[in-house]
Amino acid sequence: MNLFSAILFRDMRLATRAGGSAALALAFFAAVATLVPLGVGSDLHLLARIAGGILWIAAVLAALLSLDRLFQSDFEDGSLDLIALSPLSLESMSFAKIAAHWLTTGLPLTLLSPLLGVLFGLPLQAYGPLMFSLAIGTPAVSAIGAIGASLTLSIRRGGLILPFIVLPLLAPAVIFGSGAVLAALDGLSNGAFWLLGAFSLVAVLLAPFASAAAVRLNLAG
Amino acid sequence: MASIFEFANPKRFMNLSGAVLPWLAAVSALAIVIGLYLGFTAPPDYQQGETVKIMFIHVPAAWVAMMCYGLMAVASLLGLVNRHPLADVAAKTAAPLGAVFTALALITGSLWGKPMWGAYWVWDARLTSFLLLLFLYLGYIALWNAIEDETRAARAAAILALVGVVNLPIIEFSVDWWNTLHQGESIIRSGGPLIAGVFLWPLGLMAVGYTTLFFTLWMIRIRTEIIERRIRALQLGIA
Amino acid sequence: MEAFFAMGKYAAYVWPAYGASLIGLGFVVGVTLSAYARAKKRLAALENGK
Repeated sequence: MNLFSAILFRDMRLATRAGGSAALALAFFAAVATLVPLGVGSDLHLLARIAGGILWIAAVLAALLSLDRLFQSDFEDGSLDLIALSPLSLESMSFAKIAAHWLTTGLPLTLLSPLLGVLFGLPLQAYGPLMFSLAIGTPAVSAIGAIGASLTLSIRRGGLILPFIVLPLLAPAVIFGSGAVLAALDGLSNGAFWLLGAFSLVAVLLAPFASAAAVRLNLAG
Repeated sequence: MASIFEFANPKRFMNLSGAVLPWLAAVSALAIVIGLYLGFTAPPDYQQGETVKIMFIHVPAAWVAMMCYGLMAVASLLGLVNRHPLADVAAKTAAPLGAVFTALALITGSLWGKPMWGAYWVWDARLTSFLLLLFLYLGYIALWNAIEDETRAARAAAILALVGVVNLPIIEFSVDWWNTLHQGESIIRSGGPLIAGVFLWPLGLMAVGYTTLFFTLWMIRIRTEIIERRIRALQLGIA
Repeated sequence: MEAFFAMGKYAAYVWPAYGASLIGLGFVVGVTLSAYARAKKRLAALENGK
């Protein structure tokens, strides 16, 4: 098994054990989605209109929960130094970690979303767009989140500053993602999927380089 | 061939900035004073009445806020690629200035919008972008402060600034797209003020004044940082 | 004169905007200059103490 797969599967295994980040993300996602109607009232017409936005924000926050440990645990126990010395490039390692993060947070969130859509009274035609927008948009969340995680990996309690750095950068994903759902509600097409897909693609392609640079500077010091 | 980098080593920078500073400050003060005078003696706008006078302090602040982020990104790039000693200092000192100008742009923009649009905040595309820009600035400053080692902090902040500068046009585009998407449900924004000639002079002068003010303050902050590094070096030498 | 301060009934918007700008810029100028002055003083003290 090559080093890339080793890191990918190890990170996935760590995330999916009991109490790991995968379960945490799903629980948080469900909790937020349940609390919002309690907060804004049960008017299904209103809920259906805000469902796209709420579920998208909940998905972003849920994915953010586990980001601060993405590089930090390996940094603390010295694994990061070992990987840096190995033939695997830091860029590839970052990509493996981004992939593992998405597979254990973004993907499960996407799969859970229709169930939560029911809570919001989403009409039938919006479920597909909801899942599709989350499916192609959450990789951007993992990618940009990984950049923030690598920048803050040496900070004690770096988890506090991480969302603050990452969330403004994720604004386009939230805008396009929820915009796609909104379009489906109104029966329009607004190119949101193309924009979201392009954003995700660029994010996933470039993030490993920024992440690797950030890891390198933290190891050098 | 003399390269711009020669001017950037600390001693040369101190000499150069020391010579330039008084002029920059004078130009700034003059431009702002004359700009304010022309602005306040200008007639009210046909459509916006006297609120057009807010334009003279809103647009220059917004312009400086954007320019500052661009300069921060360039300085960050130079710091990362060339390991230039002053580049990191330049980036670090620019950020708080940029944040203040962004905040001013937001406050004046909100006050300008209230008589026009009826509310202090209507999620106008421009103002929303600036709100996100403010968060980018604050995140950058927070990162500098959170990392203890100065060199590490400089490099990390530089990466963040570069990621931010790439993302900034995307953010603005997405906010603009979002704004047109929701326009049917919110107050239709007017196409923006047509700038009559009598307003161009005060606006231009205030823009010059604000820009030179920024460069004056930036230079002073860099000088301060250089002095403080010398102080630390001397203290280490003595201790 | 009153017309000037009334700003065509927009006084509640124009003057706070200028006030906020004055306070904001004044603050940043003040902080910048005082930090600079303090640093210069400390450096002079150190260099004279040598």
